[in-house]
Amino acid sequence: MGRSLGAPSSSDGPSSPTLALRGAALLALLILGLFLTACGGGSSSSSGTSSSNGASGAETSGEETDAGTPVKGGVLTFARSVDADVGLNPINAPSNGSIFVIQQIFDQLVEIEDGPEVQPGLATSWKASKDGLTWTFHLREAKFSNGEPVTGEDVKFSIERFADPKINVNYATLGESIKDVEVVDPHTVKINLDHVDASFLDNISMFAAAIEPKKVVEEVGDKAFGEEPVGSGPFKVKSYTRGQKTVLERNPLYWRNGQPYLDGVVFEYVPDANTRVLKVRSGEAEIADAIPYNQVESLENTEGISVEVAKALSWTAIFLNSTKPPLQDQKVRQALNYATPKEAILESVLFGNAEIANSNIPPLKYWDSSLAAYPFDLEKAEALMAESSVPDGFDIELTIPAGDPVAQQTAEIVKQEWAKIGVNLTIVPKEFGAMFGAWLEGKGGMAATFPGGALSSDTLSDDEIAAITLDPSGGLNSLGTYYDNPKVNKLIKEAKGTLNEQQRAQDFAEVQKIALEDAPAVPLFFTKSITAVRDNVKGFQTYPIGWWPLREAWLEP
Amino acid sequence: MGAYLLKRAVQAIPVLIGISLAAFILIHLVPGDPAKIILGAKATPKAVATLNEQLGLDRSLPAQYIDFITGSVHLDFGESITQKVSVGSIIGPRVLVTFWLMLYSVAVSIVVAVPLAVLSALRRNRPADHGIRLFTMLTFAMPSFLLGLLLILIFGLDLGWFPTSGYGEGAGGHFRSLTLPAFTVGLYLAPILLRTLRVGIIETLGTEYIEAARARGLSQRRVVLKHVLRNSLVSTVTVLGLNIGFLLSGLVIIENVFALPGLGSELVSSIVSRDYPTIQALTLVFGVAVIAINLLTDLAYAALDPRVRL
Repeated sequence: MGRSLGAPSSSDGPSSPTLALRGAALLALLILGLFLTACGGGSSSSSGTSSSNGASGAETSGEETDAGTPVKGGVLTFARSVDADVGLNPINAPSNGSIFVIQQIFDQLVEIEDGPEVQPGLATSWKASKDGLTWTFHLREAKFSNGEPVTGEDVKFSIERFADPKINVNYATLGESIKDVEVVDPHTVKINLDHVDASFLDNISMFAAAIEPKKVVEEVGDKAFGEEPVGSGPFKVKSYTRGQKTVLERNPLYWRNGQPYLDGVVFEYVPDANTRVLKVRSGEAEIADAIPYNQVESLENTEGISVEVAKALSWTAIFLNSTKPPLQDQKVRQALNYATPKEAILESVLFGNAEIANSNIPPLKYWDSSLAAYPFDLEKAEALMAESSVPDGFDIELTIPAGDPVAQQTAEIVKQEWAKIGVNLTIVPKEFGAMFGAWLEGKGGMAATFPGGALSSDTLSDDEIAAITLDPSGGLNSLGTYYDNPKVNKLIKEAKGTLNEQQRAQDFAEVQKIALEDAPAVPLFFTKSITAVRDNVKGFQTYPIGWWPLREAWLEP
Repeated sequence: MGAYLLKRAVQAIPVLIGISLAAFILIHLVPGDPAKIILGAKATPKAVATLNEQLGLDRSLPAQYIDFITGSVHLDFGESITQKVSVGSIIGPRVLVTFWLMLYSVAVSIVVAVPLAVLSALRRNRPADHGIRLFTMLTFAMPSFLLGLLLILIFGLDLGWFPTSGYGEGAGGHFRSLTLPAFTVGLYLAPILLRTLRVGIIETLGTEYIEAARARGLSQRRVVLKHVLRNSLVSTVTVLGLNIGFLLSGLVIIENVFALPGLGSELVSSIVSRDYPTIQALTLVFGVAVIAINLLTDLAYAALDPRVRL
């Protein structure tokens, strides 16, 4: 999932070709003066008041515990960088704009919360048979927002749709191990698997496996269901205006006692990052997502607003195509890793709002945090280059998403450092839609990087992303790197095929270690979800998977 | 006049076919595949093939184009690839947003430009003239996203007169929400009009018939409003028409800054996701709009200058 396609255009400062600057230097100066005056006026008022609140404003909360008892009522306005443009049908929703809203409306059998283990959702308990091929789920008493009870039939219908690659086209790989579903009684279902799949529970915790009311979907069809969905989640849809906003209201039949606290949530689509920030500053919105790195500090220093920098299951890297000489040479790839100044980029481009990656995949369930990332060590990089097939250096092109200032600045810094070990980097900005597909097919040049947050995991354990990123059998040429280490492939397969947790942890730790050494990419950062929240919002958090349990949020009166 | 309109409408057809064909070929030539973009990191060859089949993208390009043209004739633009609803239902409401924004912007630019141009021309090379020209050059030269943000900062955030963004609820809400974006566009457009109009007025003021009008003892007010302005407006209308067509393509930035659900932002997102049916339909809508504006410009000529009607 996790592809926020709008990101490249929304995060930058766009410049209009038609309204291009035509004035003389004098005019430019005057404009600048005017701009600075206006900005100064705006920020001085906020910085003046912020001193009183400096201490609390600087807090960043991942798992904030709010003092006080939740109060019912109020409508929360949430300014989002992406729109629920593909509708609200859990099946085949490819964009986070829709997925994160779907999560407020639907439940799964088991749910992704703050991880790393899935939690009871519509199923109160579950058990695997000895051979790991049959999973029995006991369902709770729950109702859909239309008043109908959630039954085994609905579960069978939904899970079998999830397992059908013709219906669940977008996430077919995650449903492939499911054979069929038996309804034992209205509150018990058995899911049969074709083969042992350790990631099975994780897979059915994703949005696409949400439990839908069979009757409604069959009656209205998938398309209409996407406009007027019916789920058993904390909220239901009040109105849905594509390209503008989605208004949710409390589902009074929701099964979690007392929740949700809010009367409703309004998701407003505000693509421009500056405007989003202004919405929160002016109080027109309580929350804004996808805050640009360079605005975090000033927002933290604003009275009444704090910034949540939360762990996310997404990562950035400079991917290397190992079929393009001299990148087939492991020493060259390692040298590039050593020559990349991650600390400097973190500080100057991301303003400290990320973690340096010590893995080729994001920090999931079996992530080994003790493994050391490649340090920035030019001497070592030079030594490796001297031993490599290209001791005199080489030319390399790096494709970056056009209009993404973070990728651009990162690439500029990398270019400078790589030059010191004789690697002559040319930056090639390309439109994301054009670069991504080409890269996966090996037609995207020697190296590429994608927008931050463009790559993220749909599930809590490592199986999905590891298979896509490090194993050619994942079908994407190891995410375009053409990395193919039989040992890694075997370990990934072994881990997926056993329910022994210890074995799995061991396997994935080894995968992480081997892949880091093989260096199919230059891992850069584990990126974060950055959200601005007004102080009257309590109980808000962002899960690592990206969405927010808004059922827990409440507004201080 | 009817025959004239009919002739122009017929002339527009080959133009529109040309535009749609060019857009169709261009967007299919650019690398990038909607199925792959939708699937992202799940774009296994099997999934891509299944999706392409479901989306009807496995058919030949000429077949797809012919489908599009026959559909367009019936005002049926097919179904959006990414959003999976009819393209008409996506574009329909957005056309209105963009239309009201353009109209409001043009109104702002006229209200700003005409009085200032008259003042500027009558006080030629005096401080008022210099002041007006400097101010409008400023708003003209400023990139639209910058001017937009400035207006939001001042009138949305500090003074709180207008919402910082969005489209509001109801007619009043729309009007309030469109005010800042309309001023952003209008203040860019105004200097263009102002300069053309100023030159036009200065030229007209030097003509003999104005001398004659004055000689007949007509008041300054009557001379300027009735004779000078009307005669100077012709060239201004041309410039206005040209620029509206031009502005349509630049609206995306305004729409993004102000979070307005208009056509421009939809065009950009549909191009990013290679949503072919939406791109094609939007191209056609933009084509029709530009042609219509040109036609309106010609009609305005005729209204202003009786000689054109001959």
